[in-house]
Formats: sequence, structure tokens, C-alpha cells
Amino acid sequence: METPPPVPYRKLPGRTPTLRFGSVAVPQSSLWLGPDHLLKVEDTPTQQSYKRFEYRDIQEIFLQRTPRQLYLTIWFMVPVLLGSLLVYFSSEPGLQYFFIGALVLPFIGFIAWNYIASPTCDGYLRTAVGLEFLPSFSRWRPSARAVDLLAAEIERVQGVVAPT
Amino acid sequence: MAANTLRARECLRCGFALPTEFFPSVVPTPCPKCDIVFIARVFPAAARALAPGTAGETLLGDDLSSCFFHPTKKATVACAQCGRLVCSLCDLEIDGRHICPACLETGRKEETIALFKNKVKRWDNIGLMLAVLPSFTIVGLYLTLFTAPAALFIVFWKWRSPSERLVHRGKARHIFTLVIALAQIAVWAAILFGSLGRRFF
Repeated sequence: METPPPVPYRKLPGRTPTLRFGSVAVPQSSLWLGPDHLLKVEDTPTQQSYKRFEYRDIQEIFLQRTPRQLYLTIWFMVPVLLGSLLVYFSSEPGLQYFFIGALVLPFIGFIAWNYIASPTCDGYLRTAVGLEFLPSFSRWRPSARAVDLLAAEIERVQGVVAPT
Repeated sequence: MAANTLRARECLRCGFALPTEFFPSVVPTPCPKCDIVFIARVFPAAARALAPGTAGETLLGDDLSSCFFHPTKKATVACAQCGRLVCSLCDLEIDGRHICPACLETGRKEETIALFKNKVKRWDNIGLMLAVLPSFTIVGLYLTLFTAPAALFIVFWKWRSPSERLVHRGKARHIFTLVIALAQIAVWAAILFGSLGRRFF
């Protein structure tokens, strides 16, 4: 079979959250803009799988904020509190430094990163066939940027919905 | 026009039917019921009705060709893959080519139609894992005697063939695998020749 020439794809901002539960088994997903379609790529260590969405078929892109950022902060607070208690109750200064270095500081770093990385969100794409979850739309800022880029491509093909 | 026929959409969190004036919402808008902020970009395809399928035209005379799958229907086109004549009901247009349902099914199963090729093996990653993962355990270090040549084989096997992947088509992983596998082979060669040298010289 003759190999077709490679299609030029442009990656959209956003990545699958690595801290989503069970994410070790969940494939890493990314979105790519093609000349006439959106490509959803799912990567596992041994395989790459694709789903194509023609720009002319996309009806809606939906992005909504989720409370996952808050839940993540609560989860990160647990080792910080545990580490703080261990530091408070341990008498050895060496042990105190160990708990600060191993538990408190890294997780305070995670909490800071969690807030710097903008609120969490979920993204969906609707076609006549159904609703497709877009795992790479996980943080609001990059996802909103990606939605703008994608919407521009779709509107280039479909035109703009007339205002009501 | 398009906007007039837009259906009401529901909030994906609480299921509240959002009125059409919420669409398209380019700026973040809160849902009136659950207050969750959302952006909904709606496109003209949302208002477009699906095009109805065409039933094949009934064959009226003997001088006309009939559809291979529906002998009573008039053939309108020949399948680009197998050449069978098919009616407008059986005519499936894929990438600008007219294909019959049987060839479509074969193309989907055997992935002979490029559009249906939706899974590819990541040989560069498999090679890299073969080269790197055994090094993390003591037992694995001995396994590198076999995994390093295997990783090297994958690199040479897949180096010249064009990447089947649609994205991430670079050779960085192959190069990384090559360096690690060659280093492992060099270490093994040094150990083996070193011990042989001690025995015979």
C-alpha cells in the first residue's frame, strides 16, 4: 500500500492531567489541527490511536469549569498537615528536616503549582453522532486558548452563527 | 436563519436547559442554575439538518445496469476499489472516492483505506522501553544482554521505513535508544572480552 504524504498538523494547547485518578492506565490525549479536521490522539506506551472530527461536522465546543482544583488542593493538604504534625512531634532536628523536605515542601510546591496552572475544566465536542470528551482540555487558560484556535478553523469552514 | 433553528442545550453539569440566547457564549458565562462557568461555541452545523439518504432508483428497463447488491435498483456508479456497479443507496463516498459497502468493510478491517487506519504501534517507544526499563533492576541488568540487541534491531528495522504515525514523527527516541543500546552492548563486550582476555592471556 502506498503511504500517503504526511498531513501537516498543529498541536493545540492543553494536556491530559497526570494527577487524574487512574491516569497511569489512561492514555495521554492531545488535540491537533489538520487542514480540514481535528485529530484527537491518544498515546499509550506501545500504541497511538486517532479519532478525526471534520470541521464541517463539529456542532459545538463546550468548556466548563470543574471543582477538581479544590479537590486536588485538599488532597495535597493531607501530606502537608501530616508532615507538619511529624515535624512538631519529632525531637530530632535531622528528622524534622527530613519531614519538611520529603513531605511539607514538595506538597506546598504542588499546591502552588495547582493554583498557578489556572482553574480546572472539562471540555467536550458535539457532533451529530454524539458528545466527545476531550481529556486534554483540563486547565482553563490553555483550553480557552485552544477553543479560540479551533473555533477559528471551524468558522473558516462553516461560517459564523448569526446572532439572535 | 441558522441561529433561529438552534436547539436549547443543557448544562453538562446540572442538566438545566440553557436558553438559546446563551449560545454562542464566547466569554465565560455562569449557568443560571448551578452557577458553573462555561464557554459554549456553537457552529452552523448545530442547526443543519442531516441530509436524507437516497433510496436507489428502481430499474425500469433491461438496457440499464443493475446494482450488484440490489438487483432491482439502477446502478449509478462503479466502486473505485472492486469495480462493482452500485446504486445510490450503496454508493459511499470516502475521501472523494466512491466505494461499495463490501469494500468499505474490508478497508475498515484490513486498514487498506488510509482514513480507517486509526491505530499504529509506537515502535520507537517499544525500542526505548526495551533499552531503558531493564536497567532499573539488578536482574534486568543481566537481561540487557538480550534486550539491547533487540532494541538495536528495532531501531535499524524501523529507521528507514516512513513513520506511520500522524504526529510526533521525529526520530529522537530512535537516536536515544541507539545510544543506550550501543552503550549496553559496549559494556557487555568489555566484560566478555575482559574475562576472555584474563583466561587466555
